[in-house]
Amino acid sequence: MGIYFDLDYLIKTFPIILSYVHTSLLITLVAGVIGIVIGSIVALIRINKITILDKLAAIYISFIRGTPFLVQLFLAYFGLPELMQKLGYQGIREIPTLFYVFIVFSLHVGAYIAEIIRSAILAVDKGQLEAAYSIGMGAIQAYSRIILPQAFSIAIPTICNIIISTLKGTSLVFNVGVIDMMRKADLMGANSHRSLELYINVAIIYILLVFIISKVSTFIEKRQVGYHQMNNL
Amino acid sequence: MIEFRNIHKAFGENKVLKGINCTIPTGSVTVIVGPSGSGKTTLLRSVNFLERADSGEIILDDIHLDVEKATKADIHKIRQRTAMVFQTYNLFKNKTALENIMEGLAIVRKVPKAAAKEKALHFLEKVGLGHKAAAYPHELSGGQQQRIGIARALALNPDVILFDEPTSALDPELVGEVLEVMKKVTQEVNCTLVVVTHEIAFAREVADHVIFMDGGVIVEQGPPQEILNHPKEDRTKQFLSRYISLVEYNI
Repeated sequence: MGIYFDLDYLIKTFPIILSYVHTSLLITLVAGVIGIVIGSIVALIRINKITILDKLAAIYISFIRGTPFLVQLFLAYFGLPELMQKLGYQGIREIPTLFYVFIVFSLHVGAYIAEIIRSAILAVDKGQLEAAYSIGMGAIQAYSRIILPQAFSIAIPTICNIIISTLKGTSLVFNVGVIDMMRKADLMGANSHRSLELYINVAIIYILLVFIISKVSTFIEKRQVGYHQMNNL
Repeated sequence: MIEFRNIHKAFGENKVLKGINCTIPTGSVTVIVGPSGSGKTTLLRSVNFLERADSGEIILDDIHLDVEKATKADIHKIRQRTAMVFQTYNLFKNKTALENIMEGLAIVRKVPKAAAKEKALHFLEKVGLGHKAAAYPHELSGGQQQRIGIARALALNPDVILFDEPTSALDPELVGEVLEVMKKVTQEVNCTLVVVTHEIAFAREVADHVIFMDGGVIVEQGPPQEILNHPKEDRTKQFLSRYISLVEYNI
């Protein structure tokens, strides 16, 4: 432990840490896509107050919002295999840990996005739905072609915030044994006793990723800016 | 033909329609006038079930519906035969002018895309906005939006077009262009047109049939000369007084 802070070591290990970035990106991508699908469905269930499903959706959202993310991760990681075994499924050992991670992240993102989309749908002018019905569209066509596209463009900035916090949330998955950037930094630090440099690398990579996501978000928003001015009238 | 039989509708305690009975003949231009709050918009919206009446029957040619028992399929059927022009235009904000017109053709009527586009362009030309095909609603003036709203309804070639105060949200100098288009529609199109409006002069010029409503009932109805120039009921006279005196001054 001669030098307190070793810049060379930091630069040297950066590519190694970076080579684990795909885990975080994959989890965010899967959770983002599935989460938006779940969120849209749950939002529509809540808006149209479909019996029973509406109650279930409310319970789902308040559970996800009411429990810490790490707790949800552990519940799925330790609870789901138990549950599946009880239900008679034998091949639990073959299921990769990442599977549970995908489930938890997707459900987590889905619950938050459901609330965002719900309020975005309510923000779309009621006349849009009436116009869709008046030309003979059914509910599914009206929502998928007219209402949801408009709701999404209202919701884009908030959805991007959720995606960003999901990305940062992936730094918790080492707790269930998935090797991501955090875990790699941990392991390397245990050998080299230079944890600070490694964690700085992790921080730099996260900052860069978040920066890129916000840029993409702004780009999409700008493309819709004229349309947004209309909505704000 | 549209027929209303004993239509009742209340919003909470407020009874908006108190037993409407009337027949609107096929191919006619029927104008519904009356003070605000008289229920004329509600009556119009009950035809395509944007507002569901509480009781009564609605007959559209061969579709005979008891509003209390109407199923989703019934409502869908009636909406396929009608189109509506809204007070606030309600163009789809995420679609261009052309796509707004194509939407009903390509998605609802399942017309092949190329044919739908051609037809949509034709109707866009008809309302004088062929050069605005690629414009989004927010890039257009109120008058232009409403003309596209009319083109969207026309393109579907419906049996009935319902006009819900199509000029009420427009700036005064834009009203003319929309009325001009509507006049053209009444001359060229042979579907049934039902127009709720405050434009008495327009009603006098194009209507075949005028219905005067007040307080949720039809006070009187008949040919425009009769209702607008020689109303029998006091309530109608009172409502029309400012319009009639205007005409006398002009003479």
